Amino acid sequence: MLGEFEYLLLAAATKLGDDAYGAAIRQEMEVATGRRCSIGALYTTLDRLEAKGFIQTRMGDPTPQRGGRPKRMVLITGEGVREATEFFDAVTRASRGVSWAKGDEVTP
Amino acid sequence: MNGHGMTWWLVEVFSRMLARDERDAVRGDIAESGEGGWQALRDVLGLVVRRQAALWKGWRPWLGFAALAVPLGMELGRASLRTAHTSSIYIWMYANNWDWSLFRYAGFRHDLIYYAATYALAYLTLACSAWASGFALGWLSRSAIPLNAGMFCLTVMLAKSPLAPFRDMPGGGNAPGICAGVLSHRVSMDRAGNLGSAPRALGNAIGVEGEDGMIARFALFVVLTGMAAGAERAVLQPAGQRKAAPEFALKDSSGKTVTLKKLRGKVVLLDFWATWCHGCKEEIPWFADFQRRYGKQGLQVVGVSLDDEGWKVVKPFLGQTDVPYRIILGNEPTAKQYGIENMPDTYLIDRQGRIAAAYIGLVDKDDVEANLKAILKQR
Repeated sequence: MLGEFEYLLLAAATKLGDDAYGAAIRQEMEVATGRRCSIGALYTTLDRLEAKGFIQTRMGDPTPQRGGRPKRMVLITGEGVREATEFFDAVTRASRGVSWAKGDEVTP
Repeated sequence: MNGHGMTWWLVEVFSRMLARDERDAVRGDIAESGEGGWQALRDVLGLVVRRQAALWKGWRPWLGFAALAVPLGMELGRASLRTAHTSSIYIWMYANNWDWSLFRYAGFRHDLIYYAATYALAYLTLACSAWASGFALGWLSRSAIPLNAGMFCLTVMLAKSPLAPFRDMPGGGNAPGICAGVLSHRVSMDRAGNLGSAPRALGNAIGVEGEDGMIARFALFVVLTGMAAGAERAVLQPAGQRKAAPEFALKDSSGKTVTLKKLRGKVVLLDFWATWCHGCKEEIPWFADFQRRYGKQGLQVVGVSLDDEGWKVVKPFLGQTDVPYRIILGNEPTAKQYGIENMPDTYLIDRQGRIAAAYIGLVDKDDVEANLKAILKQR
């Protein structure tokens, strides 16, 4: 099963689609969580997800705003989509009936 | 250099500890996000620490540490102390009793030349030993060089400690030995194939006799080990983890455009070379041999010349050399995409256009051949 950070990364990469790469994913995750995402955590998680076969990465084209350096482009695989879906379902099921779940009864 | 400049310099230094692709991607991300120097340094350091920590899960860094860094560091430290101790006596003696009139005596001149030559060779031997130790260590676990280099230097310096085993000589440490050790790590990491000064240093070292002869023999052993181990080997990436090789469209000597895309379905040995590069010229007969023997199985060797003078120098060279494979003229964008900083650099690209192995520096011919055979079998 995915970890929380892995799920957030997959969700961000899926949202970004063809524009998913290191800096963009990082920004998307920071917006979603309101927390800073370190480059170390991002890149080691990318490697882990790639090793598990949940994403594929390739080096993209260099751009001037990046000082002529290439991007590490990220593509989520079918297996990655399945894992993310399972994680989401599990979290949704686990959250049913708890106080913070939207639309549920308050059961402190 | 002000604080701001120093921070970015540190970012540059630490990011060099990352793999080439990752370094480019991370530095690009930092540039794009507009981070300040300290934030960038924190990010790069965080990633470097994580990468280094992950490396120590494997056996190679531990073997390098236990079998090379500690024993060689200890031996170098001891040899440094011994050399420093004996040489300092003579240096002190000559410095404090110096009298130009003594040059009249043949015995004085003879002794001065003898001791100066003896200790110059001893110091050279030490530097040579340190270089070779670092080279062997760097080869064993290239990625773990920063940590093992630190451990190695620590061990060398610990030889000065009163608690160090076999510490039988008083006196100061030997800076050239230690510095050369650190330097050799760096050199072996960057360019395994361009270390032509080693044989000369080795030759000098062999000439040392007496107590220092022990150091020379030690240096001989370590240098040979280091040199034998020094040629570049590469780990064949599992098919699932390979990354696409950057595309290129470059012209050959007849003006025809060669693209990587057109070579899909073939295994490509991509060699970045130049006519002035000694290591590159050494590899050309090996690659020619591969092209002849494995061409029918789907191998295509492609030589990308990065000579600034272009065909003006490449064509005459090809006229004198037997090169049975395609040579194209490279350019800066292509070199940058492949992260070429020095040469030779060689990439083995599988039939799907993905990088299966990368060699930085002079290749180990047998290792390339073994990897080529494995890739040619893959469909």
